[in-house]
Amino acid sequence: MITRPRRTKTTLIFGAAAIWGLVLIGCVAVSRTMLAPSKIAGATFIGSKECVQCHEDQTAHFESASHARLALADPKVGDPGCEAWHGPGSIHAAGGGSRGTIINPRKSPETCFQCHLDKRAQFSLPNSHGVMNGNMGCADCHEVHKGNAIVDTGADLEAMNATCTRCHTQQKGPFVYKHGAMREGCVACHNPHGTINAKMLVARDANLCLRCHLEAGDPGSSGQINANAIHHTSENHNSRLMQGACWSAGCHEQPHGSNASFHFRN
Amino acid sequence: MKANLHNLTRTTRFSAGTLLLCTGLLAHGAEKAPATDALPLFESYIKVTGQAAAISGDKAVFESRAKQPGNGGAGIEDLHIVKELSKTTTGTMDARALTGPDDYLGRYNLTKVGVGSVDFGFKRFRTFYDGVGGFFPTNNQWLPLNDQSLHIDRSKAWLEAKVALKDMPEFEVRYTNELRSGQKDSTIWGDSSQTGLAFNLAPNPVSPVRKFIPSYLQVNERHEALEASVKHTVGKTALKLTLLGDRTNNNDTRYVIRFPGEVIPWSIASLSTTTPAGQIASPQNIAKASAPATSWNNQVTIAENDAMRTATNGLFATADTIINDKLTLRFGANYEPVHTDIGGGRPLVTSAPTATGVLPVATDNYAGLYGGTRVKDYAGNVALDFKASKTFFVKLALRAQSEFIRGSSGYNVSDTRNWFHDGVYLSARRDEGHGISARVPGRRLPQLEELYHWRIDRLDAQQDGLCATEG
Repeated sequence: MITRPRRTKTTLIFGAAAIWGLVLIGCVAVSRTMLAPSKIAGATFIGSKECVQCHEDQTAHFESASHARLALADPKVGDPGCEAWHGPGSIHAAGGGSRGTIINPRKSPETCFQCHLDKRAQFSLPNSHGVMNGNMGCADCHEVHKGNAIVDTGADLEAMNATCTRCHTQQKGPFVYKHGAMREGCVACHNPHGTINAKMLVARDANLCLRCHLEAGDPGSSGQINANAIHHTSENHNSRLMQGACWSAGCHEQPHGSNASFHFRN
Repeated sequence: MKANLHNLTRTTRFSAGTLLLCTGLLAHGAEKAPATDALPLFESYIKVTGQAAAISGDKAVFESRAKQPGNGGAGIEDLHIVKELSKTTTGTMDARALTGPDDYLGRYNLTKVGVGSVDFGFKRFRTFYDGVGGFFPTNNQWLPLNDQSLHIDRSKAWLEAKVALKDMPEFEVRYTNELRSGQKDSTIWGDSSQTGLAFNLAPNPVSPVRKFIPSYLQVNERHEALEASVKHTVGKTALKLTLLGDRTNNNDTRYVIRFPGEVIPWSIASLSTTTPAGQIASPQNIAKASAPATSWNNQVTIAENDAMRTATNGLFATADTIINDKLTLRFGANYEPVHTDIGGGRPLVTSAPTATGVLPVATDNYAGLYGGTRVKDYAGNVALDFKASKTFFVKLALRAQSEFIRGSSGYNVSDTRNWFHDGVYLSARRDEGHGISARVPGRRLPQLEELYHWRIDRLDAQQDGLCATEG
């Protein structure tokens, strides 16, 4: 007869210690702290009321900001306030706002990556905006102090695509012949954080266009994409689809919109 | 035996527990390490840096991926000087100068507490591109781009002035001038028949032509914006009025090669007597009509020029009224007329076989693109923010937009047929959106957002095209 070993006090102590060690290792290994406020050596939390005295522009409408809905893990911070992202502000306030005593996420995206870890991965893909090398910052495109962090959600006043066309003026138009996809937003075809495809496209070939322009195949055919499969046209695109992307040479070279052709040719 | 097993497992658990505890304590200690750089403790400082890369693969790919120059660079990474000019006035200067990535920054800010500030500066950096085209694995074809230095320099100069006197309207003026110039890769890839595919693969009419020849885009763009705003609080209402003048002047050209190195043999073309009805016989058409299908391509070089000037004027107004601690009412409206002038052309040069050799022939091109677009855009929204409790926030919002667009364009086509095209496209669009969103920032309640979002997008468009043929 085999008897189980007794669960002694020593076993429980060391078992608990082992679990605690695994938890700590797990937290460090993923290199992120879920909704925990940033830290500054030697500084303590003083609350957002101190920040308002000098930074009223940034704090006045924060209650309407997307990030105002976050719940924080550290009870010392209380409500999600400035110090959740900028770190404890005691040294900064005592020094009259001296530089280098507070975390500025505009200088580094690491504060944002604490939660948005997937974006760090996307910015590391071959085709991405220059956030990782400091040419751009998250706040260049996202409003973090008021309203929606992503423009044109809900019922914002800002125009669709306004975030992108501030820099990409050539794609803004207006064009004589506008591609309807522009009304779906730039993100219908591009992932602005980064993709493996050129120009941050979400698909590298004709499949990008077929996401909207594919209709049901002709049941009488062999199942190949046929004349009826391409929305808005009666032309047979069988061989053309095999040649390359829809926007390649000799075809629809102006996918954002054209001033010369209703078919978005150049 | 049982005791031995017990002792063994107990010893193992003891060792594992001790190891994990030590590792955990070390990890916990590592987490407490200071997260900030020691250098920013200085009010004024300078950082000098240098970098170099040892590249074993493609240099252009490295530059594109790493967003750094393959030849390295050095210079001042960060210069920061702060000077207290008086008890209430502070001057701050920031600078950066890195050769290689052409990364430069110069900025000066002068702030007087209770009066306002002036901020001006210049910023420039470079982005790199590798110029790789499509890849065709069947024939292991990967054609490199012509020897072009592919990078875009982006620069920005700005001047901003702000006057914020106590209990007075706050004025702000900002002017920016942004430039983009250089060459970058394009995904408008050219064609090639050198794929190794047979012309016809029964039963499908598969062409051997594939588009994977790299091309590049010459960019020359300017964007200027002048923005003036006034902000004032009357009672519980914060009012803001903004005037915007925005100008763009873009002149881009895309260079594409189709069927590089391919040409129809003159001996075949010279045997042809076919003349397509209504067209003047060209060596290219004659050759196409008589040559074997596998030789139906001649090299074509294309320079697609696309020019556009845009003038946008905007008027934006917002009013935020704090009704009480829980309710805030927000209004917003804008009016934005846009005026665009266009230009450009698409010259094609074909390598045509003749009795005396292969000659370049301009064919099937257009030039003198003219016309433009006029837009009038009206938009408005109203929103009610309701903070029911410390952990519950609801936003109700409505938005409406009307956009009227009128565009027209025309161009000349001067190939062997000499025809002329003039098209006019008119459209009027009405875009309406309604949305209700709720946000719950609490820890216990589920986080909800955009409970409801509805948008109507109506497009009333008409197109009127005219295509005339001249002799």
